[in-house]
Amino acid sequence: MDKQVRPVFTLELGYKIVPALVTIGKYDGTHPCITAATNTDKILIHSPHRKNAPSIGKIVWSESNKEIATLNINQNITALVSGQLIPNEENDVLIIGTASHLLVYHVHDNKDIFYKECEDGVKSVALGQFRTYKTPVIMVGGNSSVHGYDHKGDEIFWVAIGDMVTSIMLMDYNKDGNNELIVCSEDFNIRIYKGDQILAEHNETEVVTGLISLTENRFGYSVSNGTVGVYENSLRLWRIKSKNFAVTMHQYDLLGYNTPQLLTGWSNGKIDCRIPKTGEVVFKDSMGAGVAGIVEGDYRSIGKNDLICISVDGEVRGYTTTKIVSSGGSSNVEQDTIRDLLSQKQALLMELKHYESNIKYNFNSGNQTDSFEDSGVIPSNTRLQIIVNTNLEDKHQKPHVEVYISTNNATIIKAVIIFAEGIFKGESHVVHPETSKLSSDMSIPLYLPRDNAVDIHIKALIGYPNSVQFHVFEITKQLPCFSMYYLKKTPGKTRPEGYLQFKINERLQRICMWINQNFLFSSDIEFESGPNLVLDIKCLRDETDLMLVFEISGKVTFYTDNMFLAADLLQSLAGYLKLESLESRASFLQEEENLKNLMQKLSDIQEARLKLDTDVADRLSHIRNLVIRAEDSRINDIKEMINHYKDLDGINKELISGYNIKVHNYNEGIETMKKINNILQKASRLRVGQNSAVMINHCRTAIKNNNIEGLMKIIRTGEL
Amino acid sequence: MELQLSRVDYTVIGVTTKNCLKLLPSNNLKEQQKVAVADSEGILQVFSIKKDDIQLHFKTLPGPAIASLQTAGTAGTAHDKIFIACGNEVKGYTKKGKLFLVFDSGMTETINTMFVLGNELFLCGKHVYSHFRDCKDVGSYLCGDTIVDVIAFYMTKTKRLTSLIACEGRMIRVLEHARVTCSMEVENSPTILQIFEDDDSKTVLFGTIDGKVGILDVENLQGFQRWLISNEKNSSAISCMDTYDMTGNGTKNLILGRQDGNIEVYYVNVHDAMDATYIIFVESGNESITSLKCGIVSAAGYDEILVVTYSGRIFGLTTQVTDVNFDGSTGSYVFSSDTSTKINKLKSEIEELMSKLSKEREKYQTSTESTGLMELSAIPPISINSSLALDRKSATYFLTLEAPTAIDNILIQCNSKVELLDVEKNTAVVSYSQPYNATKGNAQLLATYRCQVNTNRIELKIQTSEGEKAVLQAYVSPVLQPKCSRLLQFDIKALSLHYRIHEYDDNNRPYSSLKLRGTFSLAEIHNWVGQCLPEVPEKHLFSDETILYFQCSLIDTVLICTYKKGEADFQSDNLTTLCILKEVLTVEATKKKTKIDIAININDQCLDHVIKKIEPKLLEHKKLIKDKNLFDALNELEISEEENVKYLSPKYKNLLERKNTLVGHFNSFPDYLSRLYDAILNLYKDYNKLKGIQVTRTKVMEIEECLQNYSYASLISLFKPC
Repeated sequence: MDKQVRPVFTLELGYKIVPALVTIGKYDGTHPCITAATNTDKILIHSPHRKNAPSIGKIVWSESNKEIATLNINQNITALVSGQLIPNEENDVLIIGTASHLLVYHVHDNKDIFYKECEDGVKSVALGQFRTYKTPVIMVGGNSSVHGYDHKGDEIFWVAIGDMVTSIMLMDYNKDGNNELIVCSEDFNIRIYKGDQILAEHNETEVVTGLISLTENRFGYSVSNGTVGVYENSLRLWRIKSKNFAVTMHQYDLLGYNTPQLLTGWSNGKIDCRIPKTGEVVFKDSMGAGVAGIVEGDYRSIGKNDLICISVDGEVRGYTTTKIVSSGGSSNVEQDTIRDLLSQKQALLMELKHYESNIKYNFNSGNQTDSFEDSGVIPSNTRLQIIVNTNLEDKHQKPHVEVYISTNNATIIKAVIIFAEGIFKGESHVVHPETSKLSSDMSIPLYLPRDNAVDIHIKALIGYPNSVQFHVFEITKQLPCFSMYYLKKTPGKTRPEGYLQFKINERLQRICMWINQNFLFSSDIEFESGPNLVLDIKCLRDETDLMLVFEISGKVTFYTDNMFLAADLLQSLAGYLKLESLESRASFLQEEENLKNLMQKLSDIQEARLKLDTDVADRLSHIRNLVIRAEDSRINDIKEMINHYKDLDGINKELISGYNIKVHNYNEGIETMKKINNILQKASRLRVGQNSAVMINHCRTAIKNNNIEGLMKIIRTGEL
Repeated sequence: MELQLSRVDYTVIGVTTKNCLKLLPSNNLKEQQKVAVADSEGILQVFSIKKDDIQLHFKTLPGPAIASLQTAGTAGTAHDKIFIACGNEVKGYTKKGKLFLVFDSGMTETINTMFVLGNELFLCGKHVYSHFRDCKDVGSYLCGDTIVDVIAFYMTKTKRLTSLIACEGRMIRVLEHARVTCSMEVENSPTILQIFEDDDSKTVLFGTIDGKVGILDVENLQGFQRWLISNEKNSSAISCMDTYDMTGNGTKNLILGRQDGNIEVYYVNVHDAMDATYIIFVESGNESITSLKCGIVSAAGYDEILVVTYSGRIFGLTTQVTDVNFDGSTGSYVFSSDTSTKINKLKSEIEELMSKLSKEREKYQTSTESTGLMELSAIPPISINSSLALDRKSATYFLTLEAPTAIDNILIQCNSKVELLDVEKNTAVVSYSQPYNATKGNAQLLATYRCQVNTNRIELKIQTSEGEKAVLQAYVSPVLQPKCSRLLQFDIKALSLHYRIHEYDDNNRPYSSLKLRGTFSLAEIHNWVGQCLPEVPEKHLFSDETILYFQCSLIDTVLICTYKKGEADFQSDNLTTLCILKEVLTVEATKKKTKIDIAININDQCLDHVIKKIEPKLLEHKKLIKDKNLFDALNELEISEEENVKYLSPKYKNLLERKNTLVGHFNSFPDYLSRLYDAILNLYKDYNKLKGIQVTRTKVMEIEECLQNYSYASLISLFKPC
C-alpha cells in the first residue's frame, strides 16, 4: 500500500544515536541544527546551513562529513535540551545533563555558561517559564528531587520527589496562564506542581518514561510497558498499549488538519500519528531501526518547520504538512472506506446470524436429542455472581483479597481471565482448573501490591466440562484503594505507637461513607452513637495494625507505625471531603529515627568523599613525580626505572581501588539522599494544600542548614 | 515490481473453504465474466460487477455447507454449468440458476473435494475416492491417508483419463480406472493441485503446506520433477493457485494465494529448469486466502485476480488504473460518484442491520432475564481456521488461528513444558500467568494474547521439547456479541520434533533397537505409534507389515518403525528417541491392559554417532555466540564511525559487516545451543537409564562443564567411562 505522506528529505548521520536524547536548536539564532547524543558519549551537532567554520575549542568538526560536529563529553549523557535561556538573546543554548553534572553550553560562542555539579544526579531536564520568574528556568530532575536553576546557575527552586525522576515538563496544566511543573518518577506517579504545592497526582501502572505537552492543555505520556495516552486535566482521554514502547513523542500538524497531531516514535522503528483527542491513528510509517527522536525545525530554509525523525542508526527523515492525501494512483481512501464498511457489515451479519440461530435452536429444542452440552449451549438464565472480600484465615495462603464467583446452575467455570493493571506480572491473570476439578464456583486470591484503586475485568468462560465453545461472562469491578485491609472482629488490646492527628469539621456519617467506599469490609460501617468511631484494622500485606479513631468533636487520629500509609489515608480522606488545606500533628518515632540516621550517614558520606578527593589529588602529584623520575632513570639508571614503574603500577592500582570506593560512596550517597527525600515527600503529604507547601519550604531551609532537630519538628508539626 | 494492480473490494459472504470460487466463461474474450461463489452457509450465488457494484443473478437458499464448487460443460461447449458439493450430494445449476441435477452419491463420507470433467465426476471424502460417469459409479478407491485435493485430465499422448489425488501423508497418487498406477512421494504435505496448461502440454503443479510449489511429471510417470517456487521468503501454506497471463505478453503466470494472506504473481517457465522463476507482484492482506481466479470481472478488457478470503471477503486486484479523484481547487480528495453511491448504499445497509440487531439484542437480553421456562442460549460454534505445523529449520511449531471476525483475546494453555516465542508480525500483547497449583512441579503454560483492534488472524511460534505428549488448548474469544470463546485442542506428540520421510537409504548409521512383542492387534499398535509421532496416517495400511520412517528436525537422527500384529520393531540411532518411545508405549499398553515384552538392544556406536551428528551444529552455534559477544564488544567501541574501522583487522571488519545475519540468526534461533546441550544431556541420561545405571548429579555437572569447553574425545570418555 502506498504511503499517504512521503518524506521530503532523508539523510544519514552515520552515528549511532541514543534513544530519546535528541533535540534541535538554533544556536546562531536562525538556523536549526539537529543535536543528538551518540552511544559513545559524544554530542553530535548537525548543521547543514553552516557557512564558515569558525569554531575552535570544544567542538570537533568531522573530517568525513563537513556538516557534522561532535562534542566530547566523556560522561554518560542522560539529558539533552536546547532552547533560549539567556535574557535578550536569540541564540539557543544547549543543556547537557550527565550522571553527576549539568553543563549549559553556548554553541555559537563556544563557551560554557555554567558547569555545575548536581549531587542528586541529572536524569531529566526541562527548560521554560515557571511561576513568576521572569527568565526561563532550567528544571533538573535527579534521583529523588527536582532542582530549578536560573541562567546564572543559581538554584531557585527545589522539591523532593521521593523516587527517581524519569521525565519532567513545564506546561500550563490548569489554564491559569502560568506553567505548572509536571514530574513523573519511578514510583509510577505523574505529579503536577504549582510552585511548591501538589496540584494533582495521577497513578499509572508502570514507570512513566515520557511526557509531552499538547495543545488545549492536554498532555501525552508514555509508559515503559508500551502504553501511550493523553490526559486533559485529571481526565485520561485515551490510552493504547503495544508490545513495543514509545521512545519519543512530538506534536505536529502532519496532515494539515489545522490542529497538531500527536506523533509517537516506537522502539521498533514505527512512527504513528494520532489525533490527540481520540487516539485514532491517521498515519503510519516505519524506519529501518528504532526511533531515537522526533523534532521539528525549518531544515530546508523555506520558512516553515518540517517534522524530523531520527532513528538510532542515524537515519534522518523529514516530513512536512501534506494536505493532499494522495495515494499515487490507486484510490486508497475510498477503498479503505469500503473495506471498513464491509467489515462492519460482516460483523453485524454474523451477530444477527447468531441470534437467529439461537431462536431456531430454542424453537427446535423439544426434538433435539443429542447432548447440547458439547456445543456449549447453556440455560439462558445462567448468571454469574461475584463476591469480593478479604480473606485472612486460609491455611495454605498468605492473607489476600478473595474474588469468589459462581454460576446459578449446573454450568461450570472452565477458566477465568482477569485483566487488570499493575497488580499482576503481566496484564492478566488466568485460572484454568484441571478437568477433574471443574465446578460451578471458584475463588481467586489476589494480592494487591500497592494501595491504589484498581479496576479488574473478569472474563469467565462458562459451559460444561466437554464443551467446545463457552459463553464469556464479563464483569468489571473496582477494588477500592485500601482493599488489603481487614477489619478485626475483636478489637486488639494494644495500638501502634505512631499516630497522625488532625481536626476536621465533618459529620461522622460522611466519614463512614468514605470508609465504605475505600475499604473492603464485609459489611458497611455505620455510626450509630457514642463519643467516637473506632476501627481496628489489620493490614493483609504485613499484618501490621492500624487504628482509625474519629471523635465526634472532629478530632481524627490514625494510629499506625507506617507513615506512608497515614499519608495515603489522609490524602484520600481530604480528597473525598474536598478539603483545601489541612494541618496535622504527626508522631512517627521510627521514621524520625530513620531520618536522623540517614542524615548522619549522609554527612559521613560527604566527609568521606572529601577525604577521597584529597587522596586522589595526593596520588596525582605522586604519579607526576614518579613518571619524571622513571623517564630520568631511563637515561641514567635503567634498573631504577623498573622500580619506578613498579611503584607507578602500585599507585595506579590504588587509584583504581580508590575509584571503586568512590563509586560505592557515591551510590550510597544517592541512595541515602533518595531515602531522605522520600521521607520528606511523604511527610509533606501528611498535610494538605497550603500547609503542605509551607512545610516543603521549611524542609528546604532545614536541610540547607543541616538542622536535623528542626527537620524532626517540621515533620511532627508542619512548622519550624 | 513489474506488475501494478490495485485492490477493489466488492462484497462479503459467509465463511469459505478452498475451491469455492469460479468465473463463468463469457461469449467474447474481452467481455466481463460472471462470478460463481459458494460459502459454508450453503449459499451459492452468481453475480457480475457493474460500476463497482455487484449485480446478483441468482442466489440459493442457505443449506448445508458447500465443500466445493466446480464448473464444467460437455466437450465442445462452454464450461458454464455450475456444480456444487454439499454433504454427500452434488447439485448442478445452469448459469441462469436453474437446478438441473441433484445427485445423491451414496457415499458414506461427506464430500470434501470434487472435480468435474465433461460427464466424469470425481468425488473424494476424507479417505474415499469415487469416480462416476453420467452419475453412475464406475469405481472407487479407499485411501489410508486423508485426501486433500483431486483433479483429472486426459493424458496428452495416450488420451487416457487420469486423475490425481493429493494426500496429507506426503503422497500424490495417480489413478486410472480407480486403480493407483503410480504413487509419487513429495517432500512436504501437498495442499492443492493445479493443472498448468499451455499450448499443447499439461503440467501438474502442487502447493505444499510449507509454502513451496512443485512440478510433477505425470506424462512419463516419473513423479516429482523439481521445485518451481521455494519457501525461503515465505513458508506459509499455499491455499490456492491459478495460471493466467496477467502481463499480457502471451505467457501464463502463476498466481498464488497463501494462508497468511499474501497474493503473489510469478513469472514461471515450467519446461525449462534453467529459466528461473521470479516474483512480479505481491499483495499482503491479513486474512488467509481460500480461493482465487483470474479473468475479466470489473471492467471489460482489464484482467483481474478475483480473491476470496476465509471470512468471505471478495475483492479484486485489477490491472485497471482507477481514476485519481482530486479536486484541484481545494486540494482535497473527492470520492468518485460510483464509489460514493456504493458507500452510501453500504451505509444504509449497515443502518438497517443495526436497527434489526438492536431488536434482536433486546430479545436476547430479555430471554436471559426470564426465570421461568427452560430457555437456552445457543450460539453456533464459531468456525476457527487453525493449523499447527512444524518448521523444520528452526525445529519449532507455527500455530495460526483465524476467526471470521475480529478477535478480542486468546488464552493458551498447555499441560506440558512448551515455550511461546515472539513473532515479529504478531502485535498482540502477551502476558503469562502462573498456574494456580504449580506446586506439583508439572510445568504448565498459561498465557493470554490481547489482540489489537481488527485482528482476525494471529500467528504464534511454539517451541516444544520431546518427552511427554501434551495437549495445547487455545480459547479464542472474538469481539462479537454475545461473547463466546471457542476451544481448540492440538495434540503435541511425545516425539514432536520428528517428521515423516519416505525413504531412508543411508546404511552407515549404527542402530539401536527396541522390540515389542505382545498380544496387540495391528490397529492397536498403529494407534500407539500415532500417539508418539506426528504425521502418522489415521488408518493403518492393509498390508501385513507397516514401515514408517521419521527424522528429527533438531539433530537429524532417524527412526524406523516396523510393525504388524503382535510385533513391533523400532530402530533409531538416537537412544533418547527409543527411550521416549519405550515409556509412551508402556503407558499406552498398560492403559489397554495389554501384556507386552520389551527388549532393547543398545549399540554403543550410537553414542559416538549422535554426538558426531550434533557436533557441527554445536560448534557452529558456539562460534556464533562467540561472534555475537565479540560483535557486541566491537559495537561498544565506536567502530560504527568510519574513521576507526580502518584500524580494525579484516576479521573484525568482516564481523561488523555480518551484523544483520548475526542478529537475524539469533532472532530466528533463540537458545538453539541450549537445546543442543539438552539433547546431549538427555542422551546421556537415557543411555544410562536404559542400561539401568543411576545418573549422579556430579556426572551431569561434569558433562555440562565439558560442553562449555567442547571436545569430542573428552565428552565421549564421559559417556563411556571404561
